[in-house]
Amino acid sequence: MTAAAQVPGLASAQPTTRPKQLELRVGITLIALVVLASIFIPIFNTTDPNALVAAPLEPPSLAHPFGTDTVGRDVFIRVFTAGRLDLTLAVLGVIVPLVFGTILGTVIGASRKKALDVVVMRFTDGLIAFPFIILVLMIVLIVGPEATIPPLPPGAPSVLAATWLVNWTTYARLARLRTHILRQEDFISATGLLGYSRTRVITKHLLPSVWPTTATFAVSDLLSIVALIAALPFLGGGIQPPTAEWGSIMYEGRGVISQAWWISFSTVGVVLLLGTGVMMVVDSLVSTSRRALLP
Amino acid sequence: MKHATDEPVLLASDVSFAYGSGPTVLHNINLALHAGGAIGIVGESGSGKSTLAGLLVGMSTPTSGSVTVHGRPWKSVRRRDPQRLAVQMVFQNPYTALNPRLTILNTVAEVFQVSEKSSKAESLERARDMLSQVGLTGSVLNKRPEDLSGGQCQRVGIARALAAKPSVIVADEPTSALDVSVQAQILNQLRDLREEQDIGLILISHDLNVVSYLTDSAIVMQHGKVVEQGPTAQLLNAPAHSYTQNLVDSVF
Amino acid sequence: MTNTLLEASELAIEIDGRQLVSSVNFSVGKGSAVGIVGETGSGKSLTCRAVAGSLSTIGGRISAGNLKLNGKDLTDPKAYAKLYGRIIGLVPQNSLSALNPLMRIGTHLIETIKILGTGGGIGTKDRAIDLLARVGLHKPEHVMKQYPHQLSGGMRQRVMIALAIAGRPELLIADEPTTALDVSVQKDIIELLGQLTREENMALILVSHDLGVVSAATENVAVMYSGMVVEYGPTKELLQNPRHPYTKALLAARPSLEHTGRLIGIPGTPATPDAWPTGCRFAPRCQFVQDSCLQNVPTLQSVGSSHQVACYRADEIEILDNAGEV
Repeated sequence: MTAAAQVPGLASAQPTTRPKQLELRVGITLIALVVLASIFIPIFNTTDPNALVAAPLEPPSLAHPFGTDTVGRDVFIRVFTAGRLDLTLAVLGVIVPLVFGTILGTVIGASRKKALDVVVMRFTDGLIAFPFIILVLMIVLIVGPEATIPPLPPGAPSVLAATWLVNWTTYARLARLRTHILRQEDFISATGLLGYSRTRVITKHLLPSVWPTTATFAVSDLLSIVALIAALPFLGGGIQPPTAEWGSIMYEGRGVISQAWWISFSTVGVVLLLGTGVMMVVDSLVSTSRRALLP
Repeated sequence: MKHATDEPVLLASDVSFAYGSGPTVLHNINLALHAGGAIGIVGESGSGKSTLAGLLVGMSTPTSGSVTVHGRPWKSVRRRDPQRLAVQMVFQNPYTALNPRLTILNTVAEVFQVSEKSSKAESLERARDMLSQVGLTGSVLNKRPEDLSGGQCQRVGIARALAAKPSVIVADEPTSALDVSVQAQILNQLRDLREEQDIGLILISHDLNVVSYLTDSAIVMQHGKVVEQGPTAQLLNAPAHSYTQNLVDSVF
Repeated sequence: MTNTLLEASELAIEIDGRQLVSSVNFSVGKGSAVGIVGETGSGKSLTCRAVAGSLSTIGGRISAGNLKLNGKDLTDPKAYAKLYGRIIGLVPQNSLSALNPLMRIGTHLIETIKILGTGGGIGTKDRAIDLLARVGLHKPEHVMKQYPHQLSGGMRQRVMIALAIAGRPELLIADEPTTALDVSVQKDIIELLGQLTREENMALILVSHDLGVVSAATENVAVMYSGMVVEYGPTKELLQNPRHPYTKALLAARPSLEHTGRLIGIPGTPATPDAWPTGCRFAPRCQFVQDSCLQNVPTLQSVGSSHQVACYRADEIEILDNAGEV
């Protein structure tokens, strides 16, 4: 207590910058590793991910670095082909709610009309109160696992529909909250005195300061969509076999984990690499923006 | 002069204010600023002086009484009305007063772009002129607020206000966040505006030294009420109210 | 001087490898009050932290020079363990964040007194009430039962002072103790600090950006600019006869009720620590600058019995100034 009473007056700590920048760099490197591997490995290694190339459950070798799966497909090429699909879906699944939610939240936050705010916020409350995974499963069921939008494989539209319909609410809430904070700032007050139109204030003054907040969340959201796609096969939905997809590879590998650990482990390893990278980036971004809020 | 000299530019008559259904924080304030005049509003935190500033610039509306600018009440001045620009504000925290994501040149140019519908190129040119008037030139114009000192930011704040060609500037503690050596530059700038461009000044400050340097008359506020008003020199040399006396005694 | 309590010589401080303070020299005699004045970035608060031993909380350290308290080396962070409260007392800038909002004022005081063991014969509660009365709080018994948020800023700052002096420290450190307060209470707090140091025979280091504040409570003052002490001497003499161009300019830049003539600001802004000029750090803003100022950093030189200034042209400027006035 003595310490609490006597020392802190001199202790408004300024966090140090360098470790966070290192964290950011390592995080970006990890993400880049997985992304580049998913882009380039299927280009240079032209093995068909669905072709039966060797005996089933062969351990890792030079020819098949991650071994083969239960029917004799090359796990290495399957994992990175799956990476293309999972990452594409994650990006598509994030961008639409990010853009829509951010703009909607900012407009609501800037509006002086209470009614709009109440209607939209109660709606998002309702959505958020509902368990996310059950909501997604419902949407997946309604859209149906067979629905296709070329060139996406069967099952992908249902995943996208689910994330698009649900995820914007989080962005809208974040953006609205950030806008409310910004409206207290003098530079926004000044725009009123200078006669700037509301549209100008939203597009030129509010949105540029709201984006960083929602975009930071979007990075971590990427990961939750990857996790969602990967989880759906376990619940009987999602991307339909035989399309290579991280969740379905893990699901298949789970049954034979005692004989062929490499199927699950290689996939989990790649996803973990991505996940660690994303969390490091998010952590450093969050602490940077927090520091920016300090006086 | 468009306006008769005896008509106040900014007039607060019998203004009271309460936040929502909360207690009244301002009681029957009267204040009249004539063209080129300067009034100080003195008081401590919680005295209601910043709330009064918000009413004077038209950011909020009084619960009773009215604030008129060039004879028109704020209530009748819409957001896009040219009259809206007549009263501008210089804020206490020079950093949060500027958009952190715009260069200072763009911050000032935007005012010309909006208020006079000038082209982008012309606005930038005029913004350069305006910023050089407050002593900012060269590479600093393309920097963002975070890369500038507090004094530099405050000068940008003044330039932005001037770009709107106001008749009155309301300055809310314009130098309390600044170092003494920088404070003098800002105070001189505000003083010159009056003398050279006939821009009226409402100065809100707790610093009597600053008030005496910039204003000819002042009101002293305590708990949302005006306890004393008169010529600044007289208020400071021969304070009548005990609270004013107390403030004067507190000056180092 | 045999009765020197604290002595800083050529003190240098760095944070994360960036040198922010390069040469700080001053001393505090037993029971005397010293002010440290400077602007944002001058290094005054870091100097204060160095003395208080709280540099490490912001990743800083003393990189060179000496800091001695009663002859004991303070550059070793471990030296502080037994000093807090008993030898060094701290008055913080923001009293609201320094007090536990869920604890009554009395509890704060009683715990501190118990830990420091300075009841001095009377009961801890009586000693607590004593202390509150000592810092000028009326009805101390009532204040004991109140929570921090129930007190005004000025009263809370008085409580902080009571806590700081509870262990009868030899040195009281106050870093901008009044910036968060209303003007009408500022002077009272500063005068209280001055009075306590005289009556309790405590030494005081008062850090402020305002020469006026410092003049009200100190006997000596060190003026800091860009990480170094540029002028040091008796407060009265320094205010009446400043010798460093920066101190002179600082005084001329303050508006005051007596002088209503045009203020003369200091052009430009202080250089950031990464861009300190090789010579005198004030040179780029100095009206008296000449080539010799740009070569080496000037060090403190005596210009009077106890008045020191770090300026190559201090003597010439004196003559120039006097000539100008005639």
